[in-house]
Amino acid sequence: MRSGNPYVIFVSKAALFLVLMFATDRVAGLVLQRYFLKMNAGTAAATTYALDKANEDLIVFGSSRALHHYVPSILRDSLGMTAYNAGRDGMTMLYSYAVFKSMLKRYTPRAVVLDVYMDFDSYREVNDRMSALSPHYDRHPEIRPIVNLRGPYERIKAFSKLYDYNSLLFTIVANNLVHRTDPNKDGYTPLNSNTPPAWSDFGFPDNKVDSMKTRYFEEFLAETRKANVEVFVVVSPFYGRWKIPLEGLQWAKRYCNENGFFFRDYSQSPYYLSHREWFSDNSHLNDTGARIFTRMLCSDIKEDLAQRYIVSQQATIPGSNAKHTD
Amino acid sequence: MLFNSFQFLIFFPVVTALYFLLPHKWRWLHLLVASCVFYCAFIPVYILILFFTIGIDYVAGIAIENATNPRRKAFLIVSLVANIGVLAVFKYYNFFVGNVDTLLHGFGLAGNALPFLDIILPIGLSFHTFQAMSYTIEVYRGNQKAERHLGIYALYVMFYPQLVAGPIERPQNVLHQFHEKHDFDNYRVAHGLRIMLWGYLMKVVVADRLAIYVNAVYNNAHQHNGTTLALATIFFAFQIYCDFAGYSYIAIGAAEVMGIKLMTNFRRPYFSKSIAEFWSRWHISLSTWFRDYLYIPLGGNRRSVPRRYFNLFFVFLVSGLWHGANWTFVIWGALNGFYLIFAIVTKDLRERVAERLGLLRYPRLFEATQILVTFLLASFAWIFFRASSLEVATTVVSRIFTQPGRLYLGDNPALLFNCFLAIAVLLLIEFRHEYATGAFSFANNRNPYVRYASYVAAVTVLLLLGVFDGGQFIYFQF
Repeated sequence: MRSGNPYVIFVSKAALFLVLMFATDRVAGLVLQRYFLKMNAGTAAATTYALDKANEDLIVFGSSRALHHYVPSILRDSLGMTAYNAGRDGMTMLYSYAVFKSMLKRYTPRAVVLDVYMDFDSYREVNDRMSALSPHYDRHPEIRPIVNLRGPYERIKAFSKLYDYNSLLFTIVANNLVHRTDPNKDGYTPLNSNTPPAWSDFGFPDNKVDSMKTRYFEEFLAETRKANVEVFVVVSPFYGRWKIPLEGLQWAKRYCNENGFFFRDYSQSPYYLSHREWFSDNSHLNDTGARIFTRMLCSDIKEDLAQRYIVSQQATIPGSNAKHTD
Repeated sequence: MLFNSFQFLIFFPVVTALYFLLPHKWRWLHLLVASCVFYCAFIPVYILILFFTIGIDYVAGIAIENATNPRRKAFLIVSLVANIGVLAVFKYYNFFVGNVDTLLHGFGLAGNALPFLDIILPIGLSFHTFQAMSYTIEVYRGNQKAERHLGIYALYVMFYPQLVAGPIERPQNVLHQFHEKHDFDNYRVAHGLRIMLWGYLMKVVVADRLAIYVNAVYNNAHQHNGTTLALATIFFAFQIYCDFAGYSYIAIGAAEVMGIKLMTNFRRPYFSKSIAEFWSRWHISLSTWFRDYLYIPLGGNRRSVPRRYFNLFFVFLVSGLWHGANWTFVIWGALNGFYLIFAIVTKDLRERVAERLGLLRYPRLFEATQILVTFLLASFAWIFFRASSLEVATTVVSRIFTQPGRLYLGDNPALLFNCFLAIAVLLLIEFRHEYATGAFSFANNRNPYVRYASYVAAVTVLLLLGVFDGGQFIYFQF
């Protein structure tokens, strides 16, 4: 063979390498998937739970501000609905839409709280963060359009099963070696900082509304309407002020008002601004603040429901299960 | 086009396959067109700058060869002025204007004497202008015949693997290779691909992983303590090495696949036992460029001792400025120049101290100490290279020495683990190459099972631990 045509030799060796690589990719990908899905703790496990197992009546969506601001046990006690907090650090509208869309295929929650803030502004480039959903690319076709936003070649890269677990090796190994379970099974992660933040004026250049992000917000709300899910769009408290009002937030408020969706903006509520000690940093409430805020929100939601004559339906809510489609 | 982009994954095999399929007489044209496509993937209009300097240097080369003595020098000067002029306008003009303004303000005079230019630095400008200058200088010195084939000369400047970040080649090494026919050779192609794979591992797995931590810390230097800043600085030392050496390996490997041998650019610099040795292992093509075309013409070490020190210091100042139009780079260069002069001045003293301490009785320990000290000195200088301004650099330096504290772990604790793991594996492999060349080899093993297993393992590591959203190569900005 060595004395043969060098091109043929090279192509055959390259083919052998590709076959070996393909086999390794599939086998190692399956092994990693198995151990990834076995993880019980951490943010990746929380996403897996939201996609594969969550069956609560009420789901909270959003970024770190959702994750640290909404206490499911209070939501459950106040509204009489089981609740799960599916917020995740660093995520925005795109992540919430992908998880919700995927969830709907499996079951329909009765209500969702969607925490928004800087979700619509072009300032933040968030597409890269969608790698958090890559391990679920194969099993949840609904999330693929969102993961593909990472780049023009994402579809091709996704051909590799190893690539789905890029940068997760340590997390998978560590979580499977040391069996941990999350202390917060309802998703909520409290912040326990006791150092109140200083008041700040924030500003960033070139604040424009990103049409792609607003489109997914519109689609999220359209999905809730189609599935008859009650949706509460909320802007949770923020300790500070924007030098220029966030255009995206103003747009979201307008859109919700025009289309009859619940929208409450607590970001500049004097009640919270006068309690610096309830904040962990400018963007996040601490556990005390989160509990107070969740209680206040529940009252507002109840009031809204009453006003919209849905109170009568509330009687059916306690003890009722979410509607499962599978 | 970036080597770590998806486009290049398609570009490289297509260009290489066509290269071998075409008859030899058309290969230069094919490579030249491919190089133009490669360059135009950045800012297409800047290719006109390349055409301008190629035209001037091509004509200058022939004119130098044909002319008699005083005119030869004049043609060389025309070529050098054209190349340095382009660099001056695109790279240093705004720096110059900014400093003039600052100076005028310092004297209480109105600034804005000259307008700023709204231009983006053409990618790899310093690399291809230096390569072009080496051609006319070598023709002038009589070490290289003037190239009569315009296309081949253009290819010498524009050969895509080393067009934007080197190695900065010499005409004697490369030009003749474009005239020669390179047949498809399985062994050579496989070797080239292995070198490329190593380059990719360095860039995507090590450099871009470390960059996540380094950027998070250095971009907010004021918010971090000395411990974190020190670790970020150490990480940056490895980041810049793997970023730049990774690029060089990919370039050298890609060229080797096509039969073109480029010069070695890095030889495990962090195993150097002195700063002088470090500079003989780091960015070799640039160090030797400065040695051949600046240090030696200035008199090198043949002049008086003070003049020799001045020559060294001056060369490193220029080298700093070559890297970027910012005072941070100048200080970085000055610091390295100072290190070298200090090492020469204190050579006898240091030897006596080592003897007194009994270090010479433990040569391995002595060597390890020398390597560590050299690494720390180089890392300290990198602070100025990485910092975005002098203010940030001074903050980093002062905090490292005065504000220890708890280490910043980043968003994800796995990041630090991956960073340490990447550095440990890199050092292990380099240690083996440095000290145990006869040890068991993986990628070069004669046993095909071991060889293929190592290829598969390397690609698996790339897919699992590589950072595919990582940005450009650091040295592109130069």
